[in-house]
Amino acid sequence: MNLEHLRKIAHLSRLELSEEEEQKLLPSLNNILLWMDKLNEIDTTGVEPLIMMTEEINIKREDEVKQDFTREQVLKNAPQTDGEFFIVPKVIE
Amino acid sequence: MHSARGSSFTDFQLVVGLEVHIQLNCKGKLFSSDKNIFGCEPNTNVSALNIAHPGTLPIVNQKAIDSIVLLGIACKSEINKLCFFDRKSYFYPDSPKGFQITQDNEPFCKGGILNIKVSKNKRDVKLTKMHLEEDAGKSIHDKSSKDTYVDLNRAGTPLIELVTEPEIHSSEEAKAFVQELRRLVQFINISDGNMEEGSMRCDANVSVRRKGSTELGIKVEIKNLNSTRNLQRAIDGEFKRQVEEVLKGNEIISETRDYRADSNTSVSLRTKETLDEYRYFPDPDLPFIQLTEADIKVLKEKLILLPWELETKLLNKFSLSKESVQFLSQDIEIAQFFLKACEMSCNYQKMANWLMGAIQKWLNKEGTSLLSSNLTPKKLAFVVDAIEDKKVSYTTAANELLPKLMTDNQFDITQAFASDNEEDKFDFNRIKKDIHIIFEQYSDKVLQYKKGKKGLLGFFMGQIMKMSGKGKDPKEINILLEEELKNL
Repeated sequence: MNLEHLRKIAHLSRLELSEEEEQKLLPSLNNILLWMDKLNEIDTTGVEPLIMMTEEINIKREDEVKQDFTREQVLKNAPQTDGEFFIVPKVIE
Repeated sequence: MHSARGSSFTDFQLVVGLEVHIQLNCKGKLFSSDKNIFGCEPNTNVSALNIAHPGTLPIVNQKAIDSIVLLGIACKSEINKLCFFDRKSYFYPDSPKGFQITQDNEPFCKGGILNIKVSKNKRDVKLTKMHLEEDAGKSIHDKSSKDTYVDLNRAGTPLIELVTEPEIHSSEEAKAFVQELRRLVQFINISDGNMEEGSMRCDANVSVRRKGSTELGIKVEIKNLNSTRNLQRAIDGEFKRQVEEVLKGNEIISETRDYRADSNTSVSLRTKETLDEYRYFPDPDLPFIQLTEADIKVLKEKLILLPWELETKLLNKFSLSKESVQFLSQDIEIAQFFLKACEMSCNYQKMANWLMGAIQKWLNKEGTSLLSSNLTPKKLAFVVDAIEDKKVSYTTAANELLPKLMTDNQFDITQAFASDNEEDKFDFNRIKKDIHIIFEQYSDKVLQYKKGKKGLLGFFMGQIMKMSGKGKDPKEINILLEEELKNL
């Protein structure tokens, strides 16, 4: 992974990284990828991919309504609100 | 339009694939128990899950699974016996989790068909897949010049995304497809199918290619199609735009365009993120869903009647007119009402006419629906039989009995007929009596009529109208008169 890859991933997550952070993250992410390469050395032909860690299946709920929060509670941790909406910086031009 | 190479519009074929989002009519959301309802005060139906609080876990709604399997069975899809959900990662404030829970690898339904009819031609449109996913919240950009306002009521709403193969070749076909799908989801009662309120939303992937070519052109996705009319206009417009680009020698750019209904144009939104940028991966919080043959069988038994099966039944068993069939197969509730009434009366077409005519007119006027009125299939059967048995005239039934039947649940129609006496409001017997008074009065003319002077019918008609026709339907009286003449 090079700096360009790193910046693209950061952009997709809408993260702003300082140069210093980039220098710290780049080797760290590359280390993870190296470890993945190591894992890739194992021959997994014929092994079904493990998708789920739990062995449980069919965890479902009935179609019932339960109101846990009032609007006041919902908006309590919003950085900015008018009491009705979450207010965020403009996301379109 | 002709290019230097001598090509024109007729050299190109339109290729459309549709993506339709169907909002399910579950009470709760797809993975949480907050209310799934349109038009509430902002941020009043929001759960911890949909504001992405730490420590929350999604649990899938059984009814949403039933709904997609029902639709899959109706469309002859292959029902996937082992499904799971995936996360589609993207960052947008109306989706606080930073991802949408959807299905990428193992959707509930694969393949399938929906039969559509354009003018007289019927054909199957192949479906690619259907999957379940959650909706995002709503961003409002026009409340302020520097901020975006977010309402999360819609976040987590259960949706089916249905994708067709790119094998729709005219805007009429696209419209027919969406209309048929809407009828189906309403019929099997999984969604209200209301496009204006956004319960059914449609995106069209449009490309063009030279006729005879089997390769697909570069596709452009058109979003924001909230009516079948807009769908049709947007596809026609996009076909024209793309062909013009190609004729000018330009490449089509893969992009998303937003349809603007007021100007009937589309504008480019952004070049589409490539698939890998969504970084799909299986959601570890949602265990596998396993469907057994027995589960599918239970749901299959719920689909007693599909709209196209109903059509055949109405045509063949009840010999209804085409217009009646079309009317009755639009709405499962009206259809079931009609079928119930058919168990009690054999005047099938007459009952259908009542539902389409007088009853529908009354419902439109009062702004209400059949099921919320007090009319029952039994009462409809009774009234139509009474007209056919000449116990009451059509006009009286439509003008006097109907409003009572619709509004008054205490009104007992069998009682109304039972209490009928010579002098009373139901006028058939009275008119019949009047006819015979006139016959006696003009016995010479009756004799002439019997000898073959059929033109005298008009004379009798005039007399009887004068005597008792006030406010009555001349057609009805005419029928009665002819009958009495025949019986002489």
